[in-house]
Amino acid sequence: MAPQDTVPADPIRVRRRDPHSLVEVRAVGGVDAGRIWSLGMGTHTLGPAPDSAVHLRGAHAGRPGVRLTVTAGGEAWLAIPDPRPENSALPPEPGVPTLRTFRPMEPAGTPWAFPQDAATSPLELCWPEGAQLSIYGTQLSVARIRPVRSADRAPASDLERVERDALFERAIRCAEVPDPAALAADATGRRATVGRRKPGMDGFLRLRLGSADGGSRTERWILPGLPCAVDLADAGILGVASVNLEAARALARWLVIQAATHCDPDDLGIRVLADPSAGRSWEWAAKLPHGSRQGEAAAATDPRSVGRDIAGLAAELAARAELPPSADQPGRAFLAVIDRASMLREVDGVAQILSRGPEFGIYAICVDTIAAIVPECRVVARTSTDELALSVRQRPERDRSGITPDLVGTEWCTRVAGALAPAGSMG
Amino acid sequence: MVNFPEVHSGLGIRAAMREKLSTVVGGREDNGRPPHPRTAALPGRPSVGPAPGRPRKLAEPLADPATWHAVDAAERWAGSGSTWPYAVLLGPGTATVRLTGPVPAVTVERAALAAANPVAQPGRAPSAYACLGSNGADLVFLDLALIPGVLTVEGDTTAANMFINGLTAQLVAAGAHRVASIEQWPQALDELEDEGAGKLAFLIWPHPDAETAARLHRAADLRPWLRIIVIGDTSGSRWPLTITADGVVTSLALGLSAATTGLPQQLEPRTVLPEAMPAVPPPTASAPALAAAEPKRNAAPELPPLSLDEHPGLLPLPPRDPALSIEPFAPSATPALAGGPS
Repeated sequence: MAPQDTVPADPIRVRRRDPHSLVEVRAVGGVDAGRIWSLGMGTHTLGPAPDSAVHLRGAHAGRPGVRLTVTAGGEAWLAIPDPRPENSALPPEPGVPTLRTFRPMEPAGTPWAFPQDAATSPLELCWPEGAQLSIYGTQLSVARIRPVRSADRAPASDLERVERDALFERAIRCAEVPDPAALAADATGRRATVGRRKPGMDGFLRLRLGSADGGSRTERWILPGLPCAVDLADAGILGVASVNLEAARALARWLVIQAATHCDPDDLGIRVLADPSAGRSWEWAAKLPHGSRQGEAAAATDPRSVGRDIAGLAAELAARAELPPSADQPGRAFLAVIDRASMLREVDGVAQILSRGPEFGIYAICVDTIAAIVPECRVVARTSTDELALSVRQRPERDRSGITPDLVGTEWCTRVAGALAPAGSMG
Repeated sequence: MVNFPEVHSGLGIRAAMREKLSTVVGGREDNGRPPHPRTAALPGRPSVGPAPGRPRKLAEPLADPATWHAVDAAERWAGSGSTWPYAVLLGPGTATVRLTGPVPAVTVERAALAAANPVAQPGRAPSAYACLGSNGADLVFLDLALIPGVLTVEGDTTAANMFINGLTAQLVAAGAHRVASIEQWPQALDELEDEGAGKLAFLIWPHPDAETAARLHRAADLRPWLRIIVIGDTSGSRWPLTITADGVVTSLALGLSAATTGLPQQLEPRTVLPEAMPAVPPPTASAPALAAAEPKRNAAPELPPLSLDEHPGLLPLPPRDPALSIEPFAPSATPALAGGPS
């Protein structure tokens, strides 16, 4: 193959939209979340093969690919080879592509059985909007580019009304804390939500960690892929831990990108503190316009810059502690991301930032291995590439598990951070 | 947030919902029901329309310039800024145009099309319609210019070869685009690129192995003027056709089915319909006829007549380039090609 037969791919819009595009497949969670493929009428392969139309780089790459057929009308149909006989009493087998859609709540333990031929032959399944396909460690959703006309959308039965209401409810709940693909599309496109959260506003630092299926608020239905979020302004110090430190960093990157997208640089300063070994994971953050007002970058990975930023945050904390409380006018908040927090905690000033910072609008995300997570973390997200569990210190009733984490790559972060840079108003 | 660890594949969900609705939406909670296995029906598949029925002899209608004029006129009449025709079902009295997207097909009387000279939409690439076969009384035409890089024909190999012969015969006869076989590949690729100048190039490639198929996809992705027709299956994005031993071709994605055995294996170069090319365009002569023929389109624009420049499908056959054009495709058992797309 000649060198000219390769083109650099956009890390967000991997396949760009053209006049013949009918649907968008979006990686809304899991590994390499945030990518978007625009597809037209035809059949497209989804999988780990390099020539797949939707190339997925996650786990379980030995599995055969899935075929997606987009009809002329914009309907999406999946052909999944070797589907597993479904039984709700069994946990999902890792690596088996699974389509999760709206479904009624069942009495616990009720098994589901399907015709024998359905369980042993390739099937074509309708992939409706709102349903989520779990495949190779990535969560995919599909959306029509051209909406169906309202006359065609009117519900004709109770079933369709419930489906429509469930879809609507899910859309609203997902819009509150958008997934990586939605956030990237917004940050690089119409920018409707960029910089709209202000200090003191409810949900100022509400950040999405991942997604899980959950119950409808109005109907006895289960909705797939609802967002799971944490309010950092409430938690104060969030621990992101993993046996695989790269998985923890991928989740932490996603949290930082969200904060940078939702909050204007005048309202939120970001400091990433990491040692040089983590430089490749965080160098993209230097593009963020949320650095210091003196023009220093938001990311520091050399010891001198890290020391300078820690001193700066400690001085800011001391200055705020001396001021009288002003509940009416919350000032610029700070988000410190401390990579390998257990090591940096030994540096002068870090322990004070972690213990007293949240009280004065200085919040932190501590990235570390599970065994080394620092004690100041009030909420800890323990993640792998497949699953995330959330524990709330001293409030175990709020612990959650079974969450699919949102993990984003550095190229994707570079692209989004670059799109945010012109919006900066660094003074 | 409440989590539900159980995961379903979505199989039979609609059927399950229907059953559940009878107890939940209807207000009757069935709380005391003991757990028991339930069998759910599979969701319905999209239709490809009626079975094509007996194949028709297609040599005569495909040699008739009026057939191709009707296809082009129907396509241009139905296409607008936001609608993209991809197929025309040409019946004895009507032409039905299939459009991509959530819009219904539109139908127009052929009599109106015969009198009309709708203009091509500005900025749109020329179409490349070819007849797939017959479905009942209709001839099924597909715009091969809209192929997303690769079109695959799976199924019976003999029938697929005959079918692709029929397609290439039509493309060669039309003369608007170029058709190349693998014998000219890859040397011909650069020449095709240099000399194409707004024309598409159709490359016929039977049975590529997986590596070659991947290269073909990359070549098509990088060359917007290249369309590749493959016998067999590939990965990536493509228009998939499936053909049976008795020559019935179907496509779930395109929503089409046709009997192909009547396709001619050779066609004379296509001629231009004289009455479709007035030397001096009459002022909006055809607009009333079209507006009357299509009641759904009340605000039908005035349609100026076709001109030669705007309608390459009706142009006389250009001089043939022996290096790049081929006679109707003849499958080769040993492709004379060592490399792949460069």
